[in-house]
Parts: sequence; C-alpha cells; structure tokens
Amino acid sequence: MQPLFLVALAGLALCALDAARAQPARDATPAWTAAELDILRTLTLSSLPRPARDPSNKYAEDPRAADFGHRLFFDTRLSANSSVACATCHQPARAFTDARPLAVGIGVTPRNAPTIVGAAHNVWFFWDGRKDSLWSQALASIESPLEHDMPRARVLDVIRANRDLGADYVAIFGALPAQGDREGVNRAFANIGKAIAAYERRIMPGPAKFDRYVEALLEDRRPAPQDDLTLDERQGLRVFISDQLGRCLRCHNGPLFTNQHFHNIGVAEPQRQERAHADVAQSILAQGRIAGAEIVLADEFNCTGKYSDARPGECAELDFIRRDSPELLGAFKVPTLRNLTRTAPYMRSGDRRTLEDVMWHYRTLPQARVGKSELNDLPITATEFDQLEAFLRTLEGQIDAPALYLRPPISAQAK
Amino acid sequence: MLLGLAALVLVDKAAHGEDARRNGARGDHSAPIDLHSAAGRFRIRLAGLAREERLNHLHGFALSLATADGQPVGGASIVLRGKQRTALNPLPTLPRVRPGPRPGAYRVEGLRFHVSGAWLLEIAIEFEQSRDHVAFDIDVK
Ligand code: HEC
Ligand code: HEC
Repeated sequence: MQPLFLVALAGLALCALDAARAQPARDATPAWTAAELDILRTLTLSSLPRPARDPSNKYAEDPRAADFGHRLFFDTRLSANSSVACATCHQPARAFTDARPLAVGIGVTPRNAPTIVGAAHNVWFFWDGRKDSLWSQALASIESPLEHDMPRARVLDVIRANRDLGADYVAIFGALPAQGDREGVNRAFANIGKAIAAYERRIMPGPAKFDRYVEALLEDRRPAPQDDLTLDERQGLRVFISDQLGRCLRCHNGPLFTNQHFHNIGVAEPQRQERAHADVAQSILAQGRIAGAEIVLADEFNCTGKYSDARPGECAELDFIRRDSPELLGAFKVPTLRNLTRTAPYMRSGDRRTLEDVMWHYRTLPQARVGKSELNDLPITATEFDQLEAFLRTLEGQIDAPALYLRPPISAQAK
Repeated sequence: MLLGLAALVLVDKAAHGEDARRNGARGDHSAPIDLHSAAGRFRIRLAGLAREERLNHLHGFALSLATADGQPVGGASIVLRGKQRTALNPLPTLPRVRPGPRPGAYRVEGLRFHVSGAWLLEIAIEFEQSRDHVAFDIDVK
C-alpha cells in the first residue's frame, strides 16, 4: 500500500473518530425502542409519587415533629452508653449507611444497615419486613440490645431529664407520662418514633445521571455531555431492563428500583454468624419473610395496634398480607439500587464488598441454604455483567432533603 | 333477564366511578372486562381492573356475578388467585372478595402486582351446588 494512502486513511479514521466524539454515542448504539422508553420512564425519579400518607402516624407531616425527629436521630443520649445514635449506622454522607459489613451499635448486629433514603415509600421495614411503619421501626432500633439498648422507660427518663428534649416533646405531644405509667410510657415512646419518622420522611433520593439522561430522551433532546450515558452504561441499562437478558426488573422495578416485596436469591447468612452459630440456618433470623410476616402481625406497635392513629380499614397492607406461603421462606426485601456507590458493602449479610462481587452472585447463582432461590441462569456475558455494574453506578445522586437535615443539629454539635 | 342486566349495568357504573378515582390515570379502567366461566355457568364483569395494569399499587375493583342468562348471583363464595406466567410467583398479597351493596355485586380488595409481565388471574366461584372458575391474563407494566 502507498504510504500516502495510509496517511489519508488514518486522517479519515481520525475524522470519523472526531465525528463520533462530537455526536455522542446515541448514534453508535441502536436507539431505544418505544417499549424500552416506556420502561425507562417508569424508572426515573419523576415517576416517583409523593410518599403515601401514613395513616398510623398523625404527626408524619408535622414540621415540628420532623425537627424534633432530626434531633433525636443524631442524639446519642438515647443509647445505653450514650455513644450510639441512629446516625451512627445511618450516616448522611454514606447515603445513610455505615460502610460496615454488619452494623455495630452496643453490639454487633447480624445485618448490614440498609439506607433510609426514600424509606417513606417502603411498605415493610427491615430485611424481613417485620415492621410496617417507619415509626414502629425506630422503636425497635432503640430497644434492640445490639443497637441503642434503651428500654422505653429509660428513653422517657432521658427526655424528662433533659430540658431541650422535654420542652420539644411537650410542645408537640403534650404532657409527658408519669414514671411508672406503663400505658402512658408506651404512648409517649410511640410518639418518639413518630417524630423520628416525620424526619425520615423528608429524606428522599435526588436525581442521578440516569434520571437526567432519561429525561432528555423523553423530551427528545440530547443529554448534556456529563449526563450522557457511556456506551457501556447504556448497554448495561439495556441488559438490566431486558426480560431476555438481565431480568433485573422482576424485582428491582419502579423509581426506587425495588418492588417492595420479598424474594429468595440465595444470599447466605453473614459468615460471622455462620461461624458463631452452627445452626444459624435454623434460626428465626434466617427464615426471612415467613417469620417477618408473623412478627409484624403480632407487633403491639403495628398499624392496627392501639398506639397507631389509623382508623379501622386503613391498614390495608396488614389486612392483605401474604403469610405462610412457601416462596416466603428465606426471602428478604429487595433493596433500592439508588446510590449504591455510597452504600458498600452489599446484601443483608454485608458479605459482598464491591458491586463486582454482587454481580458475581448473579453469575454464580449460589443455592439457598434456606428455602429455594428464585434466580435462574442469565444468558449474559462477562462483559455484559461489567456493563450492568457500570449502569448501576449511574444511579448515584444527591439526597433530596433540607440541607440542615443532613447534618447533626446545632445542639448535638455543641455538646 | 333484562332486569338482571340493567342491575348489572347500574352496579358497574357506581363501582367504576369509585375505581377510576382511586386508580388514577395509568391503566385504562374505562372498559370493563367481561368473562364467561370455564363451564359456562357464570358471567363475570370486572370494573376497575385493566387488561394492562400498573405495578406496585394496592388496589381494588368491582366484580359483578350473574348466571349465564344474566340473573345477578348474590351470596356466592369467590376466591381470586394469581400467578406470574414466567416465574410462577404468586401474588404478593392475599386479595379478598366481599359482597357489595346489591345482589350480584362484589368488591375485590388488596390486589397488587409486583413483577411486570404477564399474570394469570383465576377467579373461583362457588354458589349453591355449582362451582366454576375462570382464568384470564393481565399484562403488568
Ligand atoms: C447499630 C447500628 C444501627 C443503629 C444504631 C440504628 N440502625 Fe437502623 N438499621 C440497622 C440495621 C442493621 C438494619 C437492618 C436490620 C434488619 O433488617 O434486621 C436497620 C434498619 C433500619 C431501617 C429499615 C430500612 C428498610 O428499608 O427496611 C430504618 C428505617 C432504620 N434502620 C432507621 C433507624 C433509626 C430511626 C434508628 C434510630 C432510632 C436506627 N435505625 C438505628 C442498623 C442500625
Ligand atoms: C428475584 C428477585 C431479584 C432479581 C431478579 C434481582 N435481584 Fe438484586 N436483589 C434481590 C434481593 C432480595 C436482594 C437482597 C438479598 C439479600 O441481601 O438477602 C438483592 C440485592 C441486590 C444488590 C445489592 C444491593 C444492596 O444494597 O445490598 C444489587 C446491586 C442487585 N441486587 C442488583 C441486581 C441486578 C443487577 C439484577 C439483574 C441481573 C438483580 N439484582 C436481579 C432481588 C432480586
């Protein structure tokens, strides 16, 4: 071949490259089909409605309760050794997680701390859904010997003994119960949970690169360069939503990428647990939803209980709960996939350090030790798994909440 | 028989208005779903359920039950079940069917689809000595 011709060819190739760069890869990959666009629309934050009303918490939208809840969330006085707060394990900078495999409070818990961003949209709380509201969930953390280890009567003692807390409480909920008034203490304890829930309801996910990309597609304009998905990210997204390929949408659907239900995907109990208790697979903990459903039904703080503000007929989720069904054995709640870049390590066991490790789970499909895994072999290549991972990283966004709610309150900082 | 049909229509009108409000705009609930049970014993009309339903939304709909010749059937025992066509997951909730205000009118509550794709719903009906059922598809998006 003539050298000159080669140079010309190289020049041509460069031109082509330039053109490709100027016209980002939208043209290099096949365009999204109308059906795919329909799916993408369901996944963006603009499809996320306001959280449903919580009939069991009449303070859920009360701004004073939310402010009080904000203080409580960061307050270590609500723990046995005055060093643990909700924010110990749910740190705003880590999308309200703690970067540990298993959360550590007064003791080491057997679970990875999930995010609480967007939790107001959850139907059930905890990995096995043994709680049915944010407020009753908070009560469990406070009393858990491994988390705050604070019995409710002592919580009320702390509120009574500290003028700042007591004054807030009384202004919102009225008089504090007398010491020893068990019924009154229960009610006041529930109120503490309701204030924390009012705060948590304000913590929402903000738009990610993915959302801005899809918004642009839907409006038929070119995404801003920093919002345009790369080829790999796009390919990963295609695999994610495809019913033939990734099939991830079966469980990770909607704008929060969770169907709010429970599935068995064969994640074992944490290795630490397995070493400490040979029979961990037999434990209530490992039974997953099948046990969680019974626990929430029997919970004194559930939606139908006497500390709930719901009227009869308003607790639809409990009314129509599925229990005692074989697929619920060893099934756990599908977590959101937003902000994964800030919430490692992964899975309820915290045993997967990286997203690559999580992809490995979906590649190798371990058998369930309890119940039966629902996952099937996926017809996707190693490259496509990498692309899936690349796509998942585009789901990182700011947290949508009043800025001061993402920092410790002034009083806690001063202490 | 004509009277029976008229009653059916009335029941549906009332029930449907309620559902349209509850279910919002997604999923077209304007056309009822008309079904015949497998052995032809019953006619079933569902108002407030769309052939294309949306995901992750707890809702209810009206069910009207009539004999093959259009007489409303009150006091039947009706069970709704569902499973996902491909993964065979059952519904994530346990929906219930309770009698409505008029003979032949029932209300189904507590239905949710959590996985997109094709779902097979089955309605089993028991009335006096007769038993029958009907299965149909709902496409969930
Ligand atoms: C010791 C660390 C720790 C502390 C302290 C803690 N949590 Fe958690 N939190 C966890 C862990 C671990 C889980 C999951 C436990 C499980 O599912 O069994 C969890 C679950 C939750 C959930 C459920 C999220 C979901 O999607 O299911 C919410 C909400 C929550 N915590 C809020 C709080 C609040 C409010 C407080 C303070 C009252 C608190 N947490 C204190 C570790 C902690
Ligand atoms: C059958 C339902 C189901 C399907 C299908 C499914 N997942 Fe999951 N996913 C889950 C459940 C349940 C968990 C949590 C399991 C546990 O920790 O016990 C999970 C956890 C995850 C996590 C870890 C999140 C965290 O915060 O710990 C990622 C990432 C993830 N899935 C991505 C995917 C991708 C990508 C696909 C498609 C290839 C997929 N999932 C398909 C149910 C599913």
